[in-house]
Amino acid sequence: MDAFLAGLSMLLDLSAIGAIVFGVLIGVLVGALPGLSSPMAIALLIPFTISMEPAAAIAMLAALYCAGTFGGSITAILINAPGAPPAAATALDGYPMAKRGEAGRALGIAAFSSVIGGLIGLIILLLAAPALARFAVNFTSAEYFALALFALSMLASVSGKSSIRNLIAGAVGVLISTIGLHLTTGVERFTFGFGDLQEGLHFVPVLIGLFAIGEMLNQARVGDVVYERIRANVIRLPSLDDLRRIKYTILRSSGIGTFVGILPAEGATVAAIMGYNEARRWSSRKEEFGSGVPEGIAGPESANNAATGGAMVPTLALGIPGSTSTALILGAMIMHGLKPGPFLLQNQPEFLYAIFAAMILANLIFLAVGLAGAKLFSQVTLIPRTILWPSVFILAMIGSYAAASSFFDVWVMLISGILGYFMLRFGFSPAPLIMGLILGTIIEENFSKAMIIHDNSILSMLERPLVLLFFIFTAISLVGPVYSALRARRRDKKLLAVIEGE
Amino acid sequence: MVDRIDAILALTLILICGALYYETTGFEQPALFLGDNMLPAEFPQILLVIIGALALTLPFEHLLERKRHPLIRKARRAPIGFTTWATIALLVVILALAESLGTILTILVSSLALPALWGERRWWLLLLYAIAFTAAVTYVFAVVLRVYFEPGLFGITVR
Repeated sequence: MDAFLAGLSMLLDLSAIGAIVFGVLIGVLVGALPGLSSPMAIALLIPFTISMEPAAAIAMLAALYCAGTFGGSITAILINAPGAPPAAATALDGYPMAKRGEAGRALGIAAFSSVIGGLIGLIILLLAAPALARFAVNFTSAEYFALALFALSMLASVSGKSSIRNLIAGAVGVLISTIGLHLTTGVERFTFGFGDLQEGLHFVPVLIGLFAIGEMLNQARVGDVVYERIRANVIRLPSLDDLRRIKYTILRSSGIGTFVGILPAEGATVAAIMGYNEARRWSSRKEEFGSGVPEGIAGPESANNAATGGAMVPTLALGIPGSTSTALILGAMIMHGLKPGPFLLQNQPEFLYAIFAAMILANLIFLAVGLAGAKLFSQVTLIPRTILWPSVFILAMIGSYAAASSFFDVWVMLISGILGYFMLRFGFSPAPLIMGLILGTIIEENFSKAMIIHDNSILSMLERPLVLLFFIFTAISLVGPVYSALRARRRDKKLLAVIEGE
Repeated sequence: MVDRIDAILALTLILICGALYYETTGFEQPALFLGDNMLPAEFPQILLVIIGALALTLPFEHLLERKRHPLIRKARRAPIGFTTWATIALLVVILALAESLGTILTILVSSLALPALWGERRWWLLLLYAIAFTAAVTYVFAVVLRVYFEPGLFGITVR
């Protein structure tokens, strides 16, 4: 109880609450703007937190993460342009409902479902994170190495357009983390004579470059898009009838979302798709999906917001991020001198409660913002791209420069951005690279230690049951996509044979 | 059987991995008492071998990923427009001049040049945006967050 109160007191000053409100507003704003994403906003906002107290800084980023996931639903419903990938499934029923003249009802259902999903995810976070941390306290380096490998392999197999490319990107991320002085021996690696590289690449410029500049270059060839805009009538909370229809959908999708969020992969987007599919599968009116049914909005919205709380579980309890956004939050924690993982929760449990309280507050604020300001936030797509993207570049440039007042970091940001752009063109997702970059040090450090302890034998490591289990999970997540692709190919062949036979 | 562009991509990756592997062979050897640990070159070498091996499978990936590979093909076939190349060039020029211009002037130049390149022709809006945005960014970072702004050759900064 003392720790809980201590956690709450960390956020009780005006600047911390202001930071959370600011995080929510920025989150809803970037969530609503197609092209801008929560990871990009988190990356751009990290430099603003330099002079802040760690708890307030992380609370602001966590608030942005929650609100960004919801913000996408506003434009998904009103203009059929999901501001963020997790809101794509919301557009399937949200936009048709808005077109019928019920935009206010659709927004109300989305806001309400998001908040309930978010709160359920957070309750699970509060219960699961300390339990997981207590369990993980006994992990040796071998377990940590195997777990980090599993996290990387999961992200590679679930997200993006190609598992092989994701794996390559993840491995490149880990490779980039080896730049600089070797921790134990002090030997320079891949510095190529640049003194600035001795400390390694600062990850903030790399994150900003990959997410902000890569996307900006992508947007350079896209012309202005004119969206058909639907006027939002009075936005209201769901009626009793709607509540009766969506209550089980919300509970089910929140459970799915939290579970998917806990798994180390691209949580919210996958959760939203699963939330929508499950809502449809359990519905007695499956054929009405796509025409604007409340369950079609409640399913993905509660799932994607529940995933945010879920994704914080491994991030805080193990120091292993559950999604791209939490990987960035993890990076920010490291930048603020915190070492996320079981020992953080054991030694500073108030920190977990502070994050929990910040995310609860963020959910309540975005409910108010969603209900009162949806009309306003839907107007953000009117900002001309000729002003929006140059502003992103300037913030990216200053954000990269700010951490060390170094133009070298700005060059790192630009090169990462150009690399990120070409990566996207060739089917490589930047998310695994970021995950690799952030997990790289954990992987190398624990791999080295484990190899010493186990006499340079991986087989000896496998004698530990948890290591074996994580390796089996890693193998499954790597072989899984290959297996399902082969199965799909066989099914297509059979189908073709049947058609030809007919 | 083999996707030509992916084959070129794979070859490029393997060549880069080869060059970096060669670089690792030049890493200093640590003192003998630290030798029990993994050598500094070993971990990057393992990674480079893994990346190289994964790259070898890229040219054949399209045989397996029948549904997702067309998306990759579509993305890479989309032309890189003039604006993209010009933006890359402009960003490089801006950064090359940044230290001489100083931080504030760099922000001002960026907020004028980039929108103009992207087709903004409402000059009043451009000017208003450039001045207001530069002032806001300078205030937040230099005054509130106390980030040191390089004065550059013109000595323009905030103290």
